[in-house]
Amino acid sequence: MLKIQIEENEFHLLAQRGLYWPDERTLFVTDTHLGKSATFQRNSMAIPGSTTHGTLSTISKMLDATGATSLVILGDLFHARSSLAAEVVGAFEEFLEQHARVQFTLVRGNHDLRVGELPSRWSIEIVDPGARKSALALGHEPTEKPSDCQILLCGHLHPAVRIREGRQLVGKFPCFWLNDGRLVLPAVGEFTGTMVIHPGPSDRIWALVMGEVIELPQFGAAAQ
Amino acid sequence: MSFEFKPQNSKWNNVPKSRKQPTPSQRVDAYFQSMGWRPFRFQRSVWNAYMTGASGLVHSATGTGKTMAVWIAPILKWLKENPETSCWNAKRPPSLRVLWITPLRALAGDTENALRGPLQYLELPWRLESRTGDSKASLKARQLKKLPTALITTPESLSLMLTHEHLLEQLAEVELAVVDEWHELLGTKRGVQTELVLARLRQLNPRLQTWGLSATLGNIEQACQTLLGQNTKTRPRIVAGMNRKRLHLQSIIPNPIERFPWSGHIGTRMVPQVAELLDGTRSALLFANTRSQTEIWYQQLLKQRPDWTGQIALHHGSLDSSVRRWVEDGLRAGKLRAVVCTSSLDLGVDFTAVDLVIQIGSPKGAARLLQRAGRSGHQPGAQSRLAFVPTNALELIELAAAQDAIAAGKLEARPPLNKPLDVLVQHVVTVAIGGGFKADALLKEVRSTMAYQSLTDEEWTWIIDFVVRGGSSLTAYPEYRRVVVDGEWYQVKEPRIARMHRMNIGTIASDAAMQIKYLKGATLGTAEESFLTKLKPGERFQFAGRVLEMVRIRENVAYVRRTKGEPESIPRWMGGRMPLSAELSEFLRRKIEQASAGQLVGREMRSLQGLLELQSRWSVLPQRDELLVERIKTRDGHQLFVFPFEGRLVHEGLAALLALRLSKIKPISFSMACNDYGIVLQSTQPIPIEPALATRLLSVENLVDDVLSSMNATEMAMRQFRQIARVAGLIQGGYPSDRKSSGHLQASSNMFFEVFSKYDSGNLLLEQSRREVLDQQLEISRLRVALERLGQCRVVLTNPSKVTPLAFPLLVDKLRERVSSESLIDRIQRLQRQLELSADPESC
Repeated sequence: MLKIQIEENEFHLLAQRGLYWPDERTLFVTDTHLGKSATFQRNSMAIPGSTTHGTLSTISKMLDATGATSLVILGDLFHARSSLAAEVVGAFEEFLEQHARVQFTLVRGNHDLRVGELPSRWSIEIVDPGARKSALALGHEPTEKPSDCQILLCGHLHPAVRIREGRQLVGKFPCFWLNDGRLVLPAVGEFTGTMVIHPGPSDRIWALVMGEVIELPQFGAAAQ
Repeated sequence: MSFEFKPQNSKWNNVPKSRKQPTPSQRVDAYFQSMGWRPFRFQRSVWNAYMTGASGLVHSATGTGKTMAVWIAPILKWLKENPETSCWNAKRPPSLRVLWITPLRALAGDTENALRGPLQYLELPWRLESRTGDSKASLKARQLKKLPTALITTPESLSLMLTHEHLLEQLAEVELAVVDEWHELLGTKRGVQTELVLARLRQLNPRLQTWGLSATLGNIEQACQTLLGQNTKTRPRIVAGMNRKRLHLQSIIPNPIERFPWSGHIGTRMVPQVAELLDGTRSALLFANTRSQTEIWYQQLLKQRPDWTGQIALHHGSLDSSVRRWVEDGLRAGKLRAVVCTSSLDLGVDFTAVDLVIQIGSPKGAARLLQRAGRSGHQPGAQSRLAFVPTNALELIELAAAQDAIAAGKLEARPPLNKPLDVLVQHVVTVAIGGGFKADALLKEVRSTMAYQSLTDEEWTWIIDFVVRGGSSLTAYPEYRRVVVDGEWYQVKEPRIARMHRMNIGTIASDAAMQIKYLKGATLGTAEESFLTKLKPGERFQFAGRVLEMVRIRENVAYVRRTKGEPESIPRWMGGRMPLSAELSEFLRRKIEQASAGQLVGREMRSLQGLLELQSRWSVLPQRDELLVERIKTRDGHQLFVFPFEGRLVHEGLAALLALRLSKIKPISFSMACNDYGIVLQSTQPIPIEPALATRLLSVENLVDDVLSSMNATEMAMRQFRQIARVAGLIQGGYPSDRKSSGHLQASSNMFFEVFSKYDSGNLLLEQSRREVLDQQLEISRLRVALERLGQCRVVLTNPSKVTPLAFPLLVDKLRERVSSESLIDRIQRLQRQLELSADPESC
C-alpha cells in the first residue's frame, strides 16, 4: 500500500488494484468483468470459471482490510449479457450479502450498456459517468476532466507500463496512471488483460510489481 | 488448372497399328529421352520398390532428380493397369490416386509445373491440381465435389480436408502419399501434424504407400520411420539419391584480419570484395542469417554499385507474397544478378540460372551449409559453388570445421518431436468434425505414429476431457460444448464450432505480425507488431529494401509512404539466430585442438594464425579434453570467461546454472552474456571459482531444478504458451470480418496462461509449455550431454592480463545485452534508485 496526495486529497493505492479514499471511507475499483469466463465457455473456449470468485474475493479482502463503507465500481461490472450465468449470479449475490453494510455504486461503462438491466433485487446504485463525489468526478472512459472538480477517477483502459533496462524488457506491469487530472485505475478483474500505455513526461505512474506499489520516478517531472 | 487431352498431337499415332503398343517402361524412357535425361539407377530402384507395394524415403542433395524418382512410380503403375490408350479419356480422369504434400504453399506452383511435364508428354488422362491456402475459392469448391487424380497440397490443407466427411471416401482411394522436403517438416509441429494425417489416411486405406523426399540428414533412418509410422508391413526402403554433388567452397578472407573479432559486426566491410565476386557471375544467391541483415546487405551493395538498381533484389519471409513471386520469377528467368535472402529461399524452387551461392555469416550447421551450396548448379551433374563471407574472424574456424564435418559425413540430425499435445487436441477436433470417432479406435490410430507412440492412457483421457468438457473432469465447465458424446461416438455438431476450427487449423506460429501497406493500398509485407507500434508517425525505417515513413497504424495495418534519406531503424524479427549445431561444435573443438598443437590446416585456419598465436600467448588454446576458464579483472569488475564451445543455447542455460551454483557458495550477483563459444559472468566482487570447481559446479545432479530456478522459466513458458494456445484452439482468430463483433471474446494467451496456472495447474498444455522451454529453448538434453563431457574435462584456469581474442566478442556482447541473476523486484528497485540518482544528481 502506498499513500499519495493529489491536490488536497489523500489516497491509498492498493497492490490488489484498488484505490482507497480514507476521507469518505470509499474503495474504488474498476473493470471487474465478472462472468467473462462463463461467456467464453458458452462459446466453446476452455477457461476455468473460478476467475469470478477470484475477482470477488480480491475485492472482499480490500473491503475488509480498509474497513470501507462504500464501494464504487468505475464501470464494466459484468462482461457480457451471457456472463450472467447462474453460477456467476450466485457468486455475486453471495458477495453482496457478505458485505451487506457496504453501499454499492456502479458507474455505467460500455460493457454495462450491453449487459442491460441488472436484477432489481440487487441494491446497487447505478450512476452515469460524470457523477460527483465531493471534489471527485467519477467516470468510466477517460474523458476530459470537468473543470469544476479536482480529479476524475476512471478505468476502461486496463493500463499497464513496460519497464525496460537499456534495450531489454524487464516486464509489463499494471499501473495507476495520473494524466491531466485524470486518475486511471488498473482493472481489478482476473482474466481481463492489460493495455500498454505510453505516458508523457508530466504524468505520474504507480506500477504494481509482485505485490508492491512502486512509483516510477522517470515520470512526474512536473510534480516533483 | 486441369490437364487437357490433345489427341491430335499424339506421338504414338506414328506407331504402326500392327505393332504392339510401347510398354510402360518404354513410354517413360521416351519421356526421359525427350528431356535429354536417362533414368538414374536410384530412380529405377524406387520404381521397382513401388511396384512391390513398399514405402520409403529418397534422400540426396537438391536438384538431383528426387522428384521424378517418386513421381514416375505411380504413373508406371497406372500405365501397367491401363495399357489400352484408346480407353483413356481426359474428360473422365481417374479418381484421386496420389497426394503430393509440400511444406510451403509457395512451392505448389513450381511442383505442379514439374509434375505436369511427364503427364503432358505421355498424354495421360490424369487431372493434376493444387489445393493450398492460396487456391481460388471456386477451385476449392469444385474439388470438394470431386478431387483430381493427383493433388498437390500442404499439411494444413490436407488436415482441413479431413474435416469434410464426404471427402473421406475419395481419400480412401489414395494409393500414394508423397511428402516433399520431409527434412523441413521433421522436428516441427507441422511434421507431427503430417504424421497424424498420414495415420488417418492409412486408417482409411491400409494399403497406402508413403514416400518421402528429403535432404541428407544425420538421422535418416529415424526420419524414414517417423514418416512411415509404426507397424509398417513391408520393410521401409531408404534410397540414397545421386552421389554427392561436386562442391567448390571458397572463403573470402578479410584483409587484414582483426585480432579482436566482435560478433554481430555484420561484416559489411566485405561489401567491396563481395561486389567484385558478383561482377564475374551470372546469377547469385546471398544467404544472410537474419532478415534485418538482408536489408542491410541489399542497401550496402546498392551503395557500392549504384548501377545495379533493378538487377539485385531482396527476398525474405516477411515480404508480401507478390513481391517474393516477382523475385522468384526474375531468378528463374535469370534476369537478376543477385538476390539477398534468408532461409526463405532454402527450399525446392528450381533456379537453374544460379551459379554461385554466397553465405554471409556462419551457417551454424554442416547440413545447412551443404544444402545452401546445393542451391547453385541446380541440375544433376553440375557443380555447386559457395563463397563464405565471415562476419567476424572466428567464423572462419566454423567454416573450416564445417568442411571437416562434411568430409567426415557427419551431418546434423533432426530429432522428431515427442507428443506435442496441442497438435493432438487440434487433430482430435478435426476428426470429430470430419464424421466423428470412437475413442479407442482413434487412440490406436494416434499411437501408430512415432510422435505419439508413448502417449499414456491418462494423457489420452485428459485430451478427450479437454475437448469435451474444457478440462479435466474436476474442473468441468457446464456451458462448454466443443465435442459432444453420443453413446460411444464423439462428434462436433455445431456448424459454428466447425467453422471456427477450420479457420484455426495450422500450427505455424506467426508472431503478432502486422501488415505494412502503402496509403494507396499495395501490401509490402509484415513486421513484428512490437517494432511497428514503437515507431512514431514520420519516423523513417527500412523495409523491403526501401526507406519508408510511418504514417499511421489502423486496425493492425501500418500505413507508410516512400521517402528519402537515411533510415532511422530496421525492423528486427524474432528467432533469427540459430545456435551452433552439436555436430559442428564437436568439429570446432577439434580444429582448436589442432591449432593448439600448431597444426593450421586449410586456408581459413592459416589466415587466423596471428589471432590464434595471440590467444595461446596470453592464455591457452584448449584441447578437446580441457575446459578453458579465463579470469580477468577490468575496470567494470571481475570477469570470468568460460569456453565450452557448445553453442549459444546450451551456454545460456549453463551461464544461469553457473551463476546460481556460484551464488550458493557466496551470495553474489552477476550480469552475463553468451555466444556460440563461451560465457562471461561479471560481478563487482571476486568470483569464488576455485572453491566452486572443487564442488559440484558442473554436476548433472539437480540439473532441471537448478536450471528452472535460475532462469525466468515462468516468463519463458508464458511466451511458449502463445503458440500452444493457438494450436490447441484456446485462442481463436475468427473471421477477419468478424473481429469487431467478437471483441468480447478476445483474450491473449498470457491471460489464459495466468488463469490456468492459478486455477487449473494440472492442465497438460501448461505442462507442455514448460517442457518445450526445456527441450527447445534451453536444449536441456544437449546441456546434459555437455555437462557430462565438461565433467570429464580438465579445467585450465588462466589469469590473462588483458582480454584475449576468444573473450573479446563476449565482452562486446555483454555491453549489448545484460542478463542478470537478480530477482525481478530487486532489479526494478535498483533501476528505480538509479533513475532517482540520475534525475536528482545533487542529492548524492
